[in-house]
Amino acid sequence: MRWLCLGLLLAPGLSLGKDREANVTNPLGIRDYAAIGAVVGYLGVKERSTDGSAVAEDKATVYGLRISFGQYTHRTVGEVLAGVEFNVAFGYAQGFKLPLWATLEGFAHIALVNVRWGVFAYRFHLVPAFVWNAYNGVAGGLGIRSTMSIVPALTIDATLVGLGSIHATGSLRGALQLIIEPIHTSIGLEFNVGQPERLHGATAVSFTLALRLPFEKD
Amino acid sequence: MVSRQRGVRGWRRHLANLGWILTVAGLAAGPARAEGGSIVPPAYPLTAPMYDIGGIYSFQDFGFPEGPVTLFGVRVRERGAGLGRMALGAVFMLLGSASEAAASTVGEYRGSTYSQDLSGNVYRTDHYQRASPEELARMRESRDEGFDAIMSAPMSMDLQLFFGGANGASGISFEITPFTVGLLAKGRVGFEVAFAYTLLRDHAALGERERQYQNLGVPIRLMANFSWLQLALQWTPNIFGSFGGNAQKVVDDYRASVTSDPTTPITYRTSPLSLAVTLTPLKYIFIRATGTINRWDWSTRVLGYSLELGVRL
Repeated sequence: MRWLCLGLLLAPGLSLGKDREANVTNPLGIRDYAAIGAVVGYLGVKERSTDGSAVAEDKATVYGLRISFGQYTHRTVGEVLAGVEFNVAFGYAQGFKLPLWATLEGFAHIALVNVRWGVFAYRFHLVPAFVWNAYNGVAGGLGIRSTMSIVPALTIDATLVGLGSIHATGSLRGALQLIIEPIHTSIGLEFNVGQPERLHGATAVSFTLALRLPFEKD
Repeated sequence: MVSRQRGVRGWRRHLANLGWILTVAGLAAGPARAEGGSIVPPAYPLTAPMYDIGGIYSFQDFGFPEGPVTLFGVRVRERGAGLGRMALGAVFMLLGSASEAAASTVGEYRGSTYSQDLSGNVYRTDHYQRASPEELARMRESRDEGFDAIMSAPMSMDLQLFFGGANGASGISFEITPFTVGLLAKGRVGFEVAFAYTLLRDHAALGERERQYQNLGVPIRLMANFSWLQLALQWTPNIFGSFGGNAQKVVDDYRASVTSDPTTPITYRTSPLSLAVTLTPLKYIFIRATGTINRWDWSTRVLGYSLELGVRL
């Protein structure tokens, strides 16, 4: 309990005290960014009939394109840095009757911790999330993102978000990403685990290779 | 004796923990004291960017024989920040792109003509006119203007997730607020209009049969922000329940769901009226209590309440 309290104490303090100096860091990497990449993955969808008597299962190998964008945009009433991140992915689903899939994700970022010591930077964000995808419909939730960077070369970025869909089903979405700044490249692994015993339960695992396009704010 | 000692020890631990929490809360309010000379926050305009994240307990009685619903979950409110804008902007762009694609390929329906051959067969011919490049350019321009307007407007989002569990209902409530108007007191008093969807479901009172609370609503909210107190009076007309204008239809729909196929859920489609009182005694902490009248009926069995505690960032 004491450690939890100390953590709660330190989080806003660090954020308020240091982020003005460490403003060069952004939700995902060293700068505000946009990225375009290729996605390869597995998608499994289970649907149980409303009376619970039958389960239909579909599996597909997915290939597609993913476009991402992330930026700190404002400070909150607590003077904490905050921003948004946006991902769109779509493509071909080999194995589905209608061989298409798509996801649309919006994340808010509240930078509770955003500090830099020399070449090392660390960020811890609370992440309210809004997600639409073609197999689970609309969902929203809350998660955390933890990012460690060696400026300006490498960033390891981990995200975990719990989501609830409008069908009142739950799922867990996770992402692990390695960003190699000198060659503007990121390699990512994502997963989504739904509730297979409920309607619209879905499992997805995907691998992403993306080209990051750094840009400067006006 | 042993259990009494344990009890005393437990209370001491709780007191120690409470001490730590108060210490943290006080220190966390430090920056507020340094900036504003007070540990309480100033009164913010309705469009000020902020995030409320906390736990929620709710008890709701809808006045039907199956009894009340209890809910445990988390609530995340984003006010005046980017996620709501981006979500609505994305939907707007998708719809705009789809309509532009339809206009440039299928075209606009211009009517039908009918003809008859010598055997008496009647043929219908539908006429469509594709949009000209100038019309498409105008369409694109107005779409971009609309997108810019969305991205510069003070939007808000509200998400409540309920986890179910022992005797609790699971569900989601999702709301997006595209329209906030601060009328008085430098934008601290005003109103807003939102779009909301709520689905709650449980089996607790019914064994195998599921019941659901369904609300696709257009919440209308009167709001007033003071330094440590915020008030919000909200009515949520439910599109599923005739916008709340016909109380008998809500009851008729409920009765129809009870007597329908047992594999389908029993449904409640009320249009609640609620008053939320939020206290922010310290800059980063809020406590919210919401009282609700779920249905127009002179009975205490239509009342509900919610309690929330969380951080405001």
